[in-house]
Amino acid sequence: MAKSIHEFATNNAGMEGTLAARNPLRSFVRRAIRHRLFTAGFVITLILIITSVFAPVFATKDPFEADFSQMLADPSLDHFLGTDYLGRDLYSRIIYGGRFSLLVALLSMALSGLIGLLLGMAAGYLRGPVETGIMAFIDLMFAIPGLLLALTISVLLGPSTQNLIIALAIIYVPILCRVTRGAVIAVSQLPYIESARAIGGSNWRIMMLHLLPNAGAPVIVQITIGLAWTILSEAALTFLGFGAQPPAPSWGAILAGGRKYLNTHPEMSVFPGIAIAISVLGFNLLGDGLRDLLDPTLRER
Amino acid sequence: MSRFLGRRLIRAVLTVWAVATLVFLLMHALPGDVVLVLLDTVGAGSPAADKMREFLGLDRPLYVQYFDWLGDILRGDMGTSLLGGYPVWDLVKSRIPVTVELAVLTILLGLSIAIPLGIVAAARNGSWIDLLAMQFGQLGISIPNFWIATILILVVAARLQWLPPSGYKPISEGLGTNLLHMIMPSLSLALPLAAVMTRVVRSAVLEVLNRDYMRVAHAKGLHPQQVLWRHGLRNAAIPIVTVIGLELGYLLGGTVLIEEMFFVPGLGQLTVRALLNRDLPVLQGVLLLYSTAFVLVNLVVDLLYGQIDPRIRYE
Repeated sequence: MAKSIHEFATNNAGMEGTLAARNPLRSFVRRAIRHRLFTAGFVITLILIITSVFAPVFATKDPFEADFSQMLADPSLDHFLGTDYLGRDLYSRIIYGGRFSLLVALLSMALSGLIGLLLGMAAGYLRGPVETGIMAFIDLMFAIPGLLLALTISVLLGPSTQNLIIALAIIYVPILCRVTRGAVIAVSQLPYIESARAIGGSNWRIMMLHLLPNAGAPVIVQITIGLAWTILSEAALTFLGFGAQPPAPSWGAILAGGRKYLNTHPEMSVFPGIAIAISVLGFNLLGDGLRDLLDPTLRER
Repeated sequence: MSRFLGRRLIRAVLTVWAVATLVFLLMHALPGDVVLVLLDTVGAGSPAADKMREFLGLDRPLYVQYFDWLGDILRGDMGTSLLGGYPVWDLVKSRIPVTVELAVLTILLGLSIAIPLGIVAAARNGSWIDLLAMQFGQLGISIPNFWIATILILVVAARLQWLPPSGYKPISEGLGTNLLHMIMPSLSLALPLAAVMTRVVRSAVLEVLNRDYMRVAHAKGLHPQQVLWRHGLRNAAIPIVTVIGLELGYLLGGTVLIEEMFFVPGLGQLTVRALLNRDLPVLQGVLLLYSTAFVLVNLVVDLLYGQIDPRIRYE
């Protein structure tokens, strides 16, 4: 008797363990911590977010303030990475550059995600001529090299931060649309969608309430990787002079400004590049990690 | 085969036509007045602006302009540059071989890194070299190509003085001189490409590694290296070729940045000039050319499938 109570207790303890593990959030967190690359990406991204949100705290100087007595100063205790050709503190500009990059990336991915999700869901769920039309247009956009299209749109709209965000958002719509459509097609065959339709749910209701949450995982992964892509492209467009305009503290702008002083002051060319590479790496690792964690069948060997 | 080729060709032509239409609409539907670019001191409603609009034919209805433009393109006339009045085709044609050379060198360089690295990584799955390949694959796609170019100029050209920092020498001045000037531009584009391709080669080879025909090749006594390179690579070739075709878009976009940085007089440099001057006819022509190249290369990739894998039948 005593033994069986003991047995019961241990069994129960074991049950509790499995129940706890089945709590989806806790099990996700546990697997996430064990996934080393995801953790690395998460930490990098977190650092970028913290330094961006608290940029005024991390920066030691005003990133916009020119100081002509301190032009092209070497690194020192006062200016950690030296100053640029206007005497602006390079370290502070890089910190604010992160804030700028992150903001541009988040806004353009939000816009792109909104359009891509709507088009992708419409194509994947409504099928028929709607799908044919949308996908034909999307295929067309793939035929024009993305960076070139972004440059053209940005120049035609007139280079500014707002138009940069719009241009980058448009270029990423085809990718998000395709991923959404694929995920929606896979999900919309399932019985619960059929049931929702059978009880008279409207298309809009089914798309928003059932398809969006259940087909969302691949889209979230793609948006995370899109953030990395946007940071790279933002820097490229601004580097060429067709993105954000001065005095925006974009990493691409700092790199462009440093080209003239490459020989004498390579700091201006080296450090913003490292900042870009680390941030992009962070979002790429986060995206790949999320893919592993959210959908084990997509896992890359 | 010929029926497949015909259908595929028609589709490619239709795609190019649709892209041309999209580019045309983009240029004309988006705000930004060409006339004001040319006459930037006068207002939009001034008589001079109206006259210029009439001269350029911009006062006609959009559909008339569209069919006019399409007809010109079909006759090989890509319009005239807004600056200097040169025919767009004349500006473009001497630059095509330069960009093609850059693209070909980049792909060759990229593959000569990616194929050996990817195959060895797959063959020794989980070893340090596999780890190295994966890190390279992850890091390589995170570094901007124009920053690689900056660092190469700084280290290889300015500090070590091994290579000229920029400029271009045509092949007519000797292949050696030409290649010397092309090493850094193509390497800047090739490293990110190699990173992507290493991941593709690795996973494609891993995919075929345990197939029956690989076991048969081993069983009949072939040298392991021979099994890997002959049977493994050949069977992994389809995803590799597909991704090269798709990566061409990245590559062509990259030439814009890299040619501008190294003063390589190709299509990319022309694009930057056209963007700076709002020279829409040139921009239109370059976009059309880049897109046509992309469509054609991917058509060739489709046709290559049958060459790589004879089991693939076209109907």
